[in-house]
Amino acid sequence: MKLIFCFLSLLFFMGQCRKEAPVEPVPANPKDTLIPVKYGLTALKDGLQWEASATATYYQSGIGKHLRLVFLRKINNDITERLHIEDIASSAGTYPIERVTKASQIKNFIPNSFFSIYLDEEQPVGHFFPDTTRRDHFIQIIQFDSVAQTVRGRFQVFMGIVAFDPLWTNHPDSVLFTKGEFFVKIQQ
Amino acid sequence: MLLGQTQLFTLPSGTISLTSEAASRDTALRGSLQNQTVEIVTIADVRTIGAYDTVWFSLPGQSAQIAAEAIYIEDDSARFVWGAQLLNRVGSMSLSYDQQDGISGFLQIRDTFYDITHASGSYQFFVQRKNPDKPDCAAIDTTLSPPGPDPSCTDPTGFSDYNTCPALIYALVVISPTASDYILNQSGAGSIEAFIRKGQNQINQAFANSDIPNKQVLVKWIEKDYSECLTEDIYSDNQNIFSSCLAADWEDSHCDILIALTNENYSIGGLSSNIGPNAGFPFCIVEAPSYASSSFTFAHEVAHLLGARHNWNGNFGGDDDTEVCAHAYRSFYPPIPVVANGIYDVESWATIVAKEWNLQHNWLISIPLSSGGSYQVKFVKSIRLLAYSNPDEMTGTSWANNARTIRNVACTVADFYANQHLSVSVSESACRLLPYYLTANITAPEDGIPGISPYTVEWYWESSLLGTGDVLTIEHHPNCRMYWVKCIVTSTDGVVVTKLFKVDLRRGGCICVPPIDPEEEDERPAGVKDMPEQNLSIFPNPVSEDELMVVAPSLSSQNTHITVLDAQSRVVLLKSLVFGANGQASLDIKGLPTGLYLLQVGGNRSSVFSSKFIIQTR
Repeated sequence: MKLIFCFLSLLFFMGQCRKEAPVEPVPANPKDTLIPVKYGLTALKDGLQWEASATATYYQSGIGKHLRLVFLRKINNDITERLHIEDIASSAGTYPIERVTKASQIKNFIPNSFFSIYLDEEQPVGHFFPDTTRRDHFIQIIQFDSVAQTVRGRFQVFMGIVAFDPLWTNHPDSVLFTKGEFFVKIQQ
Repeated sequence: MLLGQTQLFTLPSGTISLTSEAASRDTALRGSLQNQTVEIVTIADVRTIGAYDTVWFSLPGQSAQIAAEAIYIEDDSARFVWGAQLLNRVGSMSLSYDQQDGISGFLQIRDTFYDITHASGSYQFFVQRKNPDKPDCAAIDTTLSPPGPDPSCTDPTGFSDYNTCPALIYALVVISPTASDYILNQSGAGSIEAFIRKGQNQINQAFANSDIPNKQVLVKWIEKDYSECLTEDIYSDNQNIFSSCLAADWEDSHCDILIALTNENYSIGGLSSNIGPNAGFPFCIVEAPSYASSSFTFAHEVAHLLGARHNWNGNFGGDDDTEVCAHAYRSFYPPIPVVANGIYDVESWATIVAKEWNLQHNWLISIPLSSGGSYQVKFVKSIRLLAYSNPDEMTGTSWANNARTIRNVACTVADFYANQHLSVSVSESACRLLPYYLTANITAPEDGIPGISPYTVEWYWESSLLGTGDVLTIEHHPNCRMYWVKCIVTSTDGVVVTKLFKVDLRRGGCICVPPIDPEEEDERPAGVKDMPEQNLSIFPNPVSEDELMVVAPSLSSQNTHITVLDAQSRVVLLKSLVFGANGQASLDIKGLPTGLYLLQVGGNRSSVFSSKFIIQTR
């Protein structure tokens, strides 16, 4: 019952966001200085607080090491929200976030992103990709510490739904992540 | 090849010598409220019986002959698995010969489920399980069921309880170099073809085991290096491979679904992109080591693409509580005896799409007792049955019905690329109206694809050839509620498509015949046994007036309902009819056009009478 309540609450909030057309968050200015100091992630998802665990790993290609950030939020024991931002270069800077549509975009050091919801870690509920009509997605790497193997930064990304469980009838059409701030230790 | 009668199950004579462990197991099995009967048998070696061979056998202590066709053979150094579909019963069976665990398996005949487990030496336990959905199990205090279906749970519009629509689903498996290396050097399969066919056969055997008729998955495979789309994370790769690396291959293949076969040491053995049907993203990843293992990962992920879902939240670790009606099923056999507050190690079994159970978690599950209190169980073994949940079988309950979902969704998926290959469907004439016709509807493949015309069509019941040609005429139905006819279409260039068609005399506009005692059930070929005598007559017949006299002495002085169906089995008249003391009633047929009709009279399923009549020009 608890699980049902939690999930229904999630769907309720999502449904509310879609139906009532929340006020668009004001895009952040990447030039603002803001440095998270605690490990983890905080962000606003559709204007509501969204806290998630954060992991950072590298994957290799012929042109170098690409950083992957994975933010996981467990809605309950069964449902997981998963936000990926990957193909990040290992240097400070502000980068646009693109949607992958062809192989050459997967390992080109231009970050890409997706947001997915899974039941049981492997039963998909819905997938969201960056809205390609917008140009204000970004990830800002504020600091790489190559000794401590940590990465700090900020991001915002605006997602549109691309696939969903046909029985998830009240799914939102979009998911907006703003004011994302992370500080993550990179796993080797 | 047709084999003669095989003494598959032999009841040993004389004293049986069991180990003390087997003797304890025997006592526990016989004391379990979940078991109907427990026999100790010796099982014949079927390892010499090849694929598509037919074997006849009888159950222990019974004489009725059952025919089974081997449609799934798995043979590696450690284990031999023999799977078969029953030909003259609805059901399937599987026997596994394992060097370590001996002979085990199951036999399923409609809703009767037999477990076969190793006892000791050459002996096996042959245990008829009680079906948990049957009323006589209601008193069992195991409370295996979850709280019940979500009241808001609804199926999508158009779902059918028993959708027999034909579906030939073509799956393109794209094998990465690392997966290819695994197959050839580590899997023991010997060849990629053999390895791939194993997964295909598992799905089709699971369809047969789950009463999913007329559906078939056919796998085509190619090898390709798509490492540019691999990033060591299955969730990322799941998003990228399909659209960025393999979309063109999928288009060229004219397949319905796409599977990337990898060997990337991902954290999980497979991942589906969607709960189907989704024509825009019909993709999943399967790790080669898990592909056709006892986890049946290929069958699991493909089933997701066909709409199947995990088990219900309350059903032992499943988590699917999102207004969905289709679920896998997990259960266990309760310990005997059981006492309140006890903690017991038990074996768990689950259907293919159930959530994988991690034994290392050592989770304790609390099971309430009807007498009050509860006990706890820990799963020490998790076994996947090669079946999709189905409430008509041991492998499901009314709320666990992935079989229904697949029966409905598979046809949509099969049409993602429609009619590109040789395909065959079987259609029937109006049910029970004799002569009864089955028609093979053959769709030729596109140019360049094997399966060219002309075709030969053969129709079989059991091993008997019923006829040839596109249309089969059946003059008499066998005296049973349903039977299967096999249609084999062979193209000029040697492509063979086999369709099994269930003639179900209980469904949609068909006449219900009295229930038959399963022990007495005789499903002999057409014409062997006469139709039961019906206590119903009609006059005049043919009729040219607006009134028909119906005579049913057993219904004298009764008010009962009647149904009139036209030649297409459509209900054209439905009303109550009052029979007089002489057993006669007058039926107003004004307004019905000329033609052949079927009159059904009766108040309940066990007392339905029928008769044909003809309306002539008035």
